Amino acid sequence: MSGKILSNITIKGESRSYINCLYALLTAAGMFSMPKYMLSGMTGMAFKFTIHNKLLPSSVDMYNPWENWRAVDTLGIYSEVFSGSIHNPTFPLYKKEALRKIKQTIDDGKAVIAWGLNQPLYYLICGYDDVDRVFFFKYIHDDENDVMLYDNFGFVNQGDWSYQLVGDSIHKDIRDIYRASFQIAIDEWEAEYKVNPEYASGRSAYRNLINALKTGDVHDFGPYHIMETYIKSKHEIHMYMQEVIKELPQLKQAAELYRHVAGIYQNISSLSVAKSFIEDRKFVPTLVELFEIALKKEEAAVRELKIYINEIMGNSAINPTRLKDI
Amino acid sequence: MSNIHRIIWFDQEVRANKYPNANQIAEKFEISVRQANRDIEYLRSSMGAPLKYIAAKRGFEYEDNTFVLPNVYITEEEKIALSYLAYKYENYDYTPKNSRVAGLFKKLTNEEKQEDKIPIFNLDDTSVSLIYKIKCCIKEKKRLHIKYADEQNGMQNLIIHPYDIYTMYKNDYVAAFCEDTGTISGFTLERIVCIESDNRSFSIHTAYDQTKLNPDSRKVPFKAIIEFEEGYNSSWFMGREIRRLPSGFCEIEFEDLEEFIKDLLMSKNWRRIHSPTWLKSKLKNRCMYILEKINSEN
Repeated sequence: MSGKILSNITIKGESRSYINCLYALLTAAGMFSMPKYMLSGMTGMAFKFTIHNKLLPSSVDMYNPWENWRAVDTLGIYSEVFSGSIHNPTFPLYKKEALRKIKQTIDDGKAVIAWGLNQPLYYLICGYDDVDRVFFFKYIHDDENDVMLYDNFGFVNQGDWSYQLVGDSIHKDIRDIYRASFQIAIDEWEAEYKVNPEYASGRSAYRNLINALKTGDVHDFGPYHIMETYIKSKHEIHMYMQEVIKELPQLKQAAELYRHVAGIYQNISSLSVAKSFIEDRKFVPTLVELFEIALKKEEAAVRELKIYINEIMGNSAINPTRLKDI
Repeated sequence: MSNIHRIIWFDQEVRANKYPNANQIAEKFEISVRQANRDIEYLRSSMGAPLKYIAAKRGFEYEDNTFVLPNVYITEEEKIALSYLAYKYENYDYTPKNSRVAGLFKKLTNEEKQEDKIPIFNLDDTSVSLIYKIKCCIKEKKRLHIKYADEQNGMQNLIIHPYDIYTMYKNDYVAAFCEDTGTISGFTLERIVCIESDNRSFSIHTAYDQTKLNPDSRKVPFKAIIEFEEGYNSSWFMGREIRRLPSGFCEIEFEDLEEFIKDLLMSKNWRRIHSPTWLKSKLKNRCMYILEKINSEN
């Protein structure tokens, strides 16, 4: 085939860029029909909380591409993630294989998620044309597709090239999906950092956030970008947990704590900031106070998740096939 | 005081047919005649003023009265700063918009024509002077002694042959051959603490391959095959070079798709786009969108 464009792809910028792309991909392929906050929660992506010590905007998408594989895996969907550096001597071979695999996936009716060509964001490759040797892609909703030459595959704005192909799915009990997402939430909270020690994760991310605000050594627009993203994430977690407790009522306390956290972030979003840190410094004492409360609430919420997961893990460690021999 | 005030006064005097000379500038502004002569020379050589000395009048006049002083006057220090900005924008994220801004700064600095001299820097920003000094040494192929804060080996005194400055992942590097290690590598600019040229020349190492150090230099531009209207024989289309093909069509390379579409919409000189197909459909979509808007007004 010399080319194909998937015309039913619509990306809306309501969540972090990876979830926006994954949601557009899965809904277009008829593989997901719930609201986007459910996808964000079920994949564990809503629980990702990474903050650079100078509040760089890249904080929100700074994690290992392998984590995207895990996110899709929690849903019971097959996926392949490929990643590497353009400096690798074998890059031409990987590139050749990538072109083949991406085209094959598009022919199968599914778009492909890729990382940061022009911007440090995920985008969707939704078409190709062999005559002009180009891929068509989208960052956000736009009637027109952007264009990338095959020759320029692998050149990314920041970090390594990476792409993810999605395959078939298996049926997975929704409660198992929830549990897998909580395991990610706990891992994220306990992880010290992502990619490098400057990007603290979970509990430590609050430390970076509070320290940076206090010292004022921050990126120009990073704090605003980070806050916009995490206000959405915390709201997504709250909405997600409200759905979760319908199946897992044991987690009511955790859901309540996350509701508090989302409320705190909502308060932050209502501050009338000038989007200039010099002018907005007056809000720092309020923000620090709010983040310290949010930290305690999240710590308590994760503790609830841990208690629940430990109970499940304790029981699931019993192999039912061996029970027959007892 | 900047010499611009003296130049403006001198220009007004010339226009008023008062035939000013260096002595009058010196007297008026209380400067030496030698300095006044430098102002006149600057007006003639750098600003392109068609000055002619009329011996009978002992002063200057314009050979061509249509000459006007440039609206934007940029001092040498500002040119250095602009040259730095041009470099930063050019390499920031390789978006076409930034390339255009970089081009504008380059034009303002008149970088192509400027003769590089090692200037005295009055600017506080050390990276501005650092980049400028390295660029001069790259152009003149002069060795550099650097004090380099190496991540693993601590502070190093090195002699390097600078080949190129490039940006990767928002960091600036100088691609150079290092005499001490015998290797070609990228030195992070922010780790260069001290820099000095010894005016000794070097030749570029045969093993130097820019694309290995800076993969972005391997990026391929888009290409469009376009047929122009009869009589359009220019080698340029909206600032882009045209390559005439044996078929009679023209090939144009571009990196910024949006800018190229804008240029196509603005120009009446092209007749047909032969390829790529997606460019035709993009242009068509834009036109349809505009038409819809115009029609809805009616």
